[in-house]
Amino acid sequence: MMEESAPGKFKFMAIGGVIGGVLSSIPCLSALNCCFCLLIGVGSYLAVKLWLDADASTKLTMGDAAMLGAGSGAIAGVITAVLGALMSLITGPMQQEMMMELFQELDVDPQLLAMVDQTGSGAMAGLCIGLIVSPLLYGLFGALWAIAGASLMHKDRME
Amino acid sequence: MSLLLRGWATLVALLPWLMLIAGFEHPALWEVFRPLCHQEAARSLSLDGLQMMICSRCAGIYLGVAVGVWSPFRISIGHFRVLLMVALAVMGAHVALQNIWLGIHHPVRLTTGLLLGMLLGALLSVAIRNIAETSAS
Repeated sequence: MMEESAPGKFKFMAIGGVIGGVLSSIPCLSALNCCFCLLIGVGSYLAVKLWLDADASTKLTMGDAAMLGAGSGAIAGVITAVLGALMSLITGPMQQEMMMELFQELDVDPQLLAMVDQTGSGAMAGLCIGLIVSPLLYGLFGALWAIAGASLMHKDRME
Repeated sequence: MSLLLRGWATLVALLPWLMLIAGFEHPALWEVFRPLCHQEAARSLSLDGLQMMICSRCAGIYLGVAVGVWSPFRISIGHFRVLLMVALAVMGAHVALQNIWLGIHHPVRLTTGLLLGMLLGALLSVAIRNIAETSAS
């Protein structure tokens, strides 16, 4: 008898990751992440839920949930880092210009002016650090949310 | 495999602690943690004038995950659900009391975070064991 295989995971990780990443990049809404990475959790849990819904006979293991959540969180981390860098590239020069004008009017210390003048140059370094750290960090929290969500909501489908 | 995954989880969870101890900070790292925590100075730990990138409750959760992931116990889903409710109730009660009566006490914030983090870390430990067993077979 041929063994039934579980549906592939990447598609579901990508869907959860894109949703979690985009939600986490929306100003104001992203504040919900302060509640234990809620938006990353939504994406990760969604990945688990969609994976389970894809095949009603599939049994979920703790390992499956962790992998789906970690993958989804890591994708969300990459998206958040890229969108965050894009936002700072777009709005950064405007903010910098406004601050420079304000500081010049207020006759602020030249050292502080020089610091503000250099802030834009760190955008690339920021993107590099974000691209390394965010996927690792969001991946961990995605895995935690996915296993907690699966334990609470899909106990009957767990092996 | 199991050791590698536990190591990854521990290293990532200890990142803000290691940065604080090493005295290392970069604006980009603050940006990475900004969506995940309010980073309010009054609610954060500091060492030699350097503020931690996350608040003390988050610091407790992160530390708890780093410890819990090495748990040798196989926590059952039933036990996890009960313990999660207890940990969330304790944390919720402290959040409410802190704002209306107790004030900000880092040891209590750390402890309530630690309880929740250890529980989640212990569940992650079960998942890692499961992944290692599946990949070995």
